[in-house]
Formats: sequence, structure tokens, C-alpha cells
Amino acid sequence: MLSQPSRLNQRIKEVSMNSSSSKAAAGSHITLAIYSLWRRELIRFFRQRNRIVGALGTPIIFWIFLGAGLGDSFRAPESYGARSPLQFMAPGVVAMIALFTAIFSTISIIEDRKEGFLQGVLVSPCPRFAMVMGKILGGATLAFIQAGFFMALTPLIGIQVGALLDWVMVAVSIFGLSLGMTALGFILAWRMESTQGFHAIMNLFLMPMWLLSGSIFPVESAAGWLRWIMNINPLTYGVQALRMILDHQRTGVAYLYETSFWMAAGVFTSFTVILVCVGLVIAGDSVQFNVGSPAEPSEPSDSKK
Amino acid sequence: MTASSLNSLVRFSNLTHSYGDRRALDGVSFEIQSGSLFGLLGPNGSGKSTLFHLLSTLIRCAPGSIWVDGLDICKAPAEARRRIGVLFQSPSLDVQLTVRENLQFQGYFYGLKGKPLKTRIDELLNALGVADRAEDRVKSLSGGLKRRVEVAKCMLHEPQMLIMDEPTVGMDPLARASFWSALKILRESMEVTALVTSHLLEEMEQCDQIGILKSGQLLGVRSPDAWKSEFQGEESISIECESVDEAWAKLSESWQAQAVKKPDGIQIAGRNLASALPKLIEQLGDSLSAVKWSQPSLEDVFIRLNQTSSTDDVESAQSVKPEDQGGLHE
Repeated sequence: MLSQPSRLNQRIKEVSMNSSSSKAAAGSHITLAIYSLWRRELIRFFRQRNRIVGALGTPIIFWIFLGAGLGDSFRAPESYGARSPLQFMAPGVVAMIALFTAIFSTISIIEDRKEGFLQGVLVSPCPRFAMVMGKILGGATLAFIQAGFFMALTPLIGIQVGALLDWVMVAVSIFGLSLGMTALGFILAWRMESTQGFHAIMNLFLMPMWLLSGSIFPVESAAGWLRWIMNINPLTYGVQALRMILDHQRTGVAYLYETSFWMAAGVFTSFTVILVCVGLVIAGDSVQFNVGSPAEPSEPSDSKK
Repeated sequence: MTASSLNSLVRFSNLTHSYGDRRALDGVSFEIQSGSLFGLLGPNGSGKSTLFHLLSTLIRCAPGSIWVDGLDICKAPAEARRRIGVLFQSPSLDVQLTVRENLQFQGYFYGLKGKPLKTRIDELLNALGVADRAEDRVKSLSGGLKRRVEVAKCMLHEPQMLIMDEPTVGMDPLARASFWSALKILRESMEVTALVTSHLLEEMEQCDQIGILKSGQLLGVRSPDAWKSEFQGEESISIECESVDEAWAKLSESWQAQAVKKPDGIQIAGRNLASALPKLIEQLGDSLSAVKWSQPSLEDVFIRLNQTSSTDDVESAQSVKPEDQGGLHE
């Protein structure tokens, strides 16, 4: 015990030295924290094969069955370059892949922060915004990779993305869609008590949001009240922007000079930026974080002696 | 400053916390000596978990304060997190990742990286006897080994204080024993102060100091022996027998003592029980399979202290037969 005070003094010195140099180290510290959460998302995804099937397989099955089912009965307005329903739905399928990947990747937050890996993050000095960014970027990257796989299939149905610039624009819009959907999933999952609650949200809110985004039928062909809903749905604009890029070759419309393209891209980008900011605010709320419900502190339930 | 506070690493001062109208902690103050193992005991709802969450900075403390090595953690939670390692009751490892990946990522959250981080991981895994499993996925590890990896995880950043919430819950006795011995070696080699909550009272015997909480208030902080000596003279006899009901009936006819009926036997508590042993053996005869006489254990202390409590969480207390506590009459 005699040696204790001197050891403590040494500790205090170390700690104060750490805090003086901490500002310099803070940047790399935050990057490391974001990197580790991002990387964890990727590792987890590739080690759980059923998730690949769920997030990529489901949208593709939807796409093929709906496309084949609608067949000739599908009529897109003249202004659309897409001739077959499969072509028309391709951007919607990308949105669905982004949505499903986001759901799978953010649903884990609910359990993770109460009994899992995130507990350790929450008691570490890692700033909350680094945690939010790591998680959202991780989910968005996964969605991006899967949408990329899907895009590789699209030449089979006659979608041609010719110029390099078009490819870059496709990549940017896919990443935007992925980021927006993951941020939305994050916000919904963060305060949620159970995964069952998330499923309810998914069916009542996220799926209708996708259905009414112009993914499977054009806004123009919808009834008046439905068209109104579709017009206020931010996802509509993300899908529209991507569609204009994919249709470039067939329609010959130089989307880069079209106001409608930049409007759509602008609306969806603003939506994504707002969602990311909301995510940062709700999760970054300083120390306060209820691990259990406030009314019932999570006392250990098994009091076996 | 008193002599005792010179050596204290952690100081809780007038800690109070409410959830709505319900007060979970009510003016709790105590100190934890540097380098010691401190046990926190209390039935469910006593405020144990609230105190744990306050100390781990997961909930804000107001009013009151917690000082860790001269730093008020309520005011500087980010700095405090560098000084504290938290072992949660529920697992915090990612089972899809390997042991090393889990530790590496945790290190990154504390700004550790490169060679120093690798060295630290190896050092901890060696000390805890899990070095050979470093590259295995966590899901392939047994419960006991997972727990040791968790200890390594919360010791990575060299915290001054390790806090553990029911660290051995759900482990078999063998895994529990090896967990504690691994922890003992680690604590000695790394001079870390620890606070532990547990329901397993025999485990708490190894603590240097034990604080008992009841309904949000601290009943006191004493060494395990000091707690037991509070009940000096109180003895207990535990009986194992074939038919508990039959033995219970026989005893209740002629004995007056505080007794608890258990599935496999009867526990009697009172004074001067030793002299009555021969009579008891004679009375129960062949139906008896084992008799054990003992001085009060920590468990007896805990049950006694909580007997007047209105909570029904202490399962043994429910079946206490409220008879004359004055002693044993033949």
C-alpha cells in the first residue's frame, strides 16, 4: 500500500499528459472509432450468409416475379425510356436493396446497445457521433456493394450505362440512396425497445414508402390522392434521379442539363443530410442513455443464489 | 483529509437517483480503497444496478457525486471513461468476430492502435489464459472463456477501476472458480481496484469490503468477517433428509426455532444450537442423510438483513417460519 500514492501520482501525470495531447490525437481517434464500427458491419455481413440472401435475394425475386407478372399489361408513360416492367423497376429494386440492407444492419442496434457490442462503445470515450457515423457508413457500404451486384445484372435486360460519367453518377446516386435509407433505419431503431416494434414500423411505414416511391408504378399513373402522397415521399426523388441516369442511353435525355434531375437529386440529398443530422442529434445526446427503461432499472432478474 | 481517504480511489458522495417518483438511491456515501476488491450486495430493486449504471457513466448522477481518483465522473464523463473498465452482466462481445477482432476494435475506441495495442492484447490474453483462442470466433468459446475475454476487453485501456455486474451469472461452478482465480492473478499483476455485484454470496467472501444496499440506502460497509460478527452467536444447522415434510412435521412439534424449509432439507437458525444436535439426530433417526452445523455465513447475514424488507426477492426468506426467535426449547 505504501507504493500506492506514488503510483497514483504517476497515473495522474499520465492522465493529464494524455489530456493535453488528446486534442492532437482526437482526430485519428475518431477516425479509428468510425473505421472499426464500419469494418465490423462488413465482417459481420459477410460472415452471415443468410443476410446476403435476405437483402439481395428478396428484391431480385420481387423484381423478377413482378416484372414477369405484369408483362404486357404494364404501360409506362411515353416520357419514360423503359419499355418493359423489368427495365422500369430496376431503379426501384436498387432502392429496395438499400432499404432491406439498411433494415438488416440497423435492427441489430436495438439488441446491441442493451446486451451486446454497443454497450462497450457507450462506456468508452469514443464520441457518439463517431459511433453514429461508423454504423451508418457501414450499412450504406453494404447496401452499395449489393446494389452494385444487382447493377451487374441489368445489361441482361437491356439497360445500358455507357459513359464513364454515367457510371459515376449511378454510383453516387446508389450511395446516396444507401446512406439515406441506413440513416432512416438508424433513427427508427435507436430509441426502439424491441425488434418486434421495428418489424411493425417496417411493414407499416418502410414498405409503403417503397411502394409509393415510383418504384413499381409511375407517379403519373397513380390516382390523385396517391400521387399527392408519392410527391411528398422523399424516396420518390431518389428513385427518379437514378432512373433518369439509367434511361439516359435509351431516351437520349441529357439529364445533367435537366432541372427535374437536379431537383430530384437535391430533394433526396437534403433528405439524407437531414436524416444523418437527426441521427447524430438523437444518439449524440451527451451522457444520458437509458440502458433499461427509465421506469424500471434493469436489475438482474435471476436471483439464484 | 483523513488517513482512510488518502488511500481511497473511489468516493461516492450523497448519491441520489430517482426514476420518476421512485427513489432508487437515497443519499448513498462510501469509499473504495485503492487496490481492493469491493463487493456490492443487495436484493433486486435495492439500487445496485442504478449505482452500477451511474458509475459506468451510462446514466447521469444528480444530485451527488462520484469521484474516481480525484475526478468527478459526473462532471467529466468522457475523461472518467478512460479510468473505468466496465464488465456488463449481459455479454458485450460480438460473437461473429474473433477474440482478437473484438479486442482490437475495443482498443480503437480508446485510441489504442498498432504495436502497443497488439502487445497489450497478447499480454491480457496470456494473463487470462485464452491466448490460444485469439484467432477463434467468439461464438465457438465456452461461457467461461467468453467471460475472460470480456475481462480482457475492459482491461485493454489500463483502467484504474474495474466494475463488474454479476460477472459469473450463468456459469457452472468450475468456470466460476477459474474465472475468479484468473481475475485474482490479473488484479495482482495490474494493481487494479475492482467493484463487483453478485448474488453468489460465497463468491463475495473473497472481497476486502462489502457494502450492503437495501431499498436505495446503504446499510454499511464492512469486511465479510465484520458483517458475520454482527451476528455472533447465531448459528445454523442444515439438515438433509429423505422426506422433508415428515421431518418438518416432527420438528415443529417439539422445536421452537427459526427454520426454513428447502427442497432437499431444512435450515434452522438460532443460538446455542450445537448442544441440541444429539437430540435432533436422535429425533429424526434414519430419515436423516446429513447434518451440518455452522457459524453464520455471509448468506445468513444477507438474508437476516433483508428479512424485514417488503421485497419478496430473497427466495429463502419467503418460507421462514415465524416462530419464537429466543432459542431452542427441548
